[in-house]
Amino acid sequence: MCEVSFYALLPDGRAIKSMSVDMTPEGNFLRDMNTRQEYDWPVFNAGKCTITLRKGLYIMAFDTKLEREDGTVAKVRFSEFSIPDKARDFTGDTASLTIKLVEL
Amino acid sequence: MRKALSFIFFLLVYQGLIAQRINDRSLQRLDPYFGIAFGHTDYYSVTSFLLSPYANYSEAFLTGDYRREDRAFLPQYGDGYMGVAFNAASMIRTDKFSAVQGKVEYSKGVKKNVKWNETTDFLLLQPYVLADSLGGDMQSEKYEFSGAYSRRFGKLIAGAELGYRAVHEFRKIDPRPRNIASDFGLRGGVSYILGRYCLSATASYRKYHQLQNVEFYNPIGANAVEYHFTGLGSRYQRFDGTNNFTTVRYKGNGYGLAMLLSPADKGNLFAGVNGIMLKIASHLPGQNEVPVTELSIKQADGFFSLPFNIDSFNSAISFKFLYERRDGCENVIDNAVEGSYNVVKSLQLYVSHNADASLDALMEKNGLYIKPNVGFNYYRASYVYPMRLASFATLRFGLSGGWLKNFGKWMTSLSLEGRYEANLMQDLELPERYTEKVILHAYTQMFDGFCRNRFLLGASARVQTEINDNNALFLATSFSQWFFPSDKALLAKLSIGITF
Repeated sequence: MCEVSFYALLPDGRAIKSMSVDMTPEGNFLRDMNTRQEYDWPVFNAGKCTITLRKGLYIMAFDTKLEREDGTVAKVRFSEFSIPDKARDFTGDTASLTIKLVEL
Repeated sequence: MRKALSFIFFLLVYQGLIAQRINDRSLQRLDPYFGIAFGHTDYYSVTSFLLSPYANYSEAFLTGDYRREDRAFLPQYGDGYMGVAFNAASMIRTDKFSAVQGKVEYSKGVKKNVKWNETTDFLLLQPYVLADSLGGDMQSEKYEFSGAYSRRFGKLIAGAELGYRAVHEFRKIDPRPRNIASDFGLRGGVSYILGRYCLSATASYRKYHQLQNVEFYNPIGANAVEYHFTGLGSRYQRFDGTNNFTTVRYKGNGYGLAMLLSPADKGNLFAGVNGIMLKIASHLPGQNEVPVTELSIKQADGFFSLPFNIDSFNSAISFKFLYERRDGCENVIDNAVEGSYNVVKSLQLYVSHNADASLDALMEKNGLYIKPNVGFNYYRASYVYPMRLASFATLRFGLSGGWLKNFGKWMTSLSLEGRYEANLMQDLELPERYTEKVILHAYTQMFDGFCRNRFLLGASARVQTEINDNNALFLATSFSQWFFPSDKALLAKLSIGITF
């Protein structure tokens, strides 16, 4: 298994208080590319979350709302690794990934 | 004890002094007292047949084979079979110091209503098999031969054996798997006579190959989904589907080493151990032969048999054990951006353990015999993530008995068998979230079916008549009925042949 830490980053660098991803829409996924196994995005606290995944290649994306430290809300998108050609491999025991969010 | 020791000596001289007429030789082959001692030795030693008491013997026969199960015990082999087979086997002592033996088999038949498996040699290759969601009859054709030669040089005996098996299986309607499997085996070994006993060592090599291709001819489109199973209902879903990934190649190599201790003069203990290691990888020929899985099979087995005499009864006890471990690795395959599929990492995700032990006893007098036995089996398979688990334990008790009699020109053999197999425990844990509903249902059903308590009642008979001193015609039949709590299964065979 691979313990993956995700760090969410807003384009303007403002601090994130919390962010959760609704897994209902089809466009929100964290998926093992080979087994097609789906994982739920964990809740981001202070812009950070950790999840244990089976080692493999992953595609991932989401649209969601987040709350900044100053209490404001922003609608964001993450789609950098959303297609197989850009799959991200998590094949070590640990990994970290910076999630570069785009404000919508 | 003296009687027991002299029995072995008697066996060793038996071939030359007594077993001359064909009915005598057949009787010797069928005798369970010989069988409990020498029935295992060929498996553990490539040279043992030279020292065995068996006289020259050849037979050729045609068999009709029928199986019908109300509910499939192992759906991957279907709920029935109907076929014919031709078999020939021979063991000939070419001179005082050497012998050859060989056998050939050709069989052709139909496995009825095969489900959740399209791969030939399911039990060898599981859990990494290709399966469809529909099932259907599978046509099956098998060619098999083996030949062995053994020669004695003073106290040293050397031998070698070569074997080959080819299987062709296909289905006549969509989905249409076509599988061609070939299985080559080579064994070589030496034995050395150490006083009362002979110690044998045999090394073996095995090469396995299967090419499997599934096609759909219906112009409307595919009527089933193809699954690449990876154990306990999990799949390599990236390659599921009906288009590009339905050709699979299995390639494997294996090695083994076996030791056998058997009587050479006045000893009476038979004991053998065997270790086998076999690795089989599955590849996708359409995707630059990328290896998808690798299965590593390790097996250890052994036995001992001790023939002895109680009063005027020929008696024996025999103990057998087997342990098999399967480790399955799945390869993480890259995104093939440049058109070539490459392995990024190999993950060990599947492991299974199968342990089996059985104890047999035999008492025989004047051709009448009884053979009680008791056995235990434990199986456990697990998948690392998402966690899946299957385990069960079975205890079995059986009693068989029979009668062999030579009436001069006629010879007959009758036997009856009863066996009860009781399930002691069963546990199946499959994650609902990560298992497709139809697969979850099928696996639960299969597992429940496999863990049913069951009772077997079987009977077999053989009648043989001599044409002359060296040739005989025989007719043999066997019927077995399995009784499950709410259903039954029937197995029947009828053979006609000649022996010489």
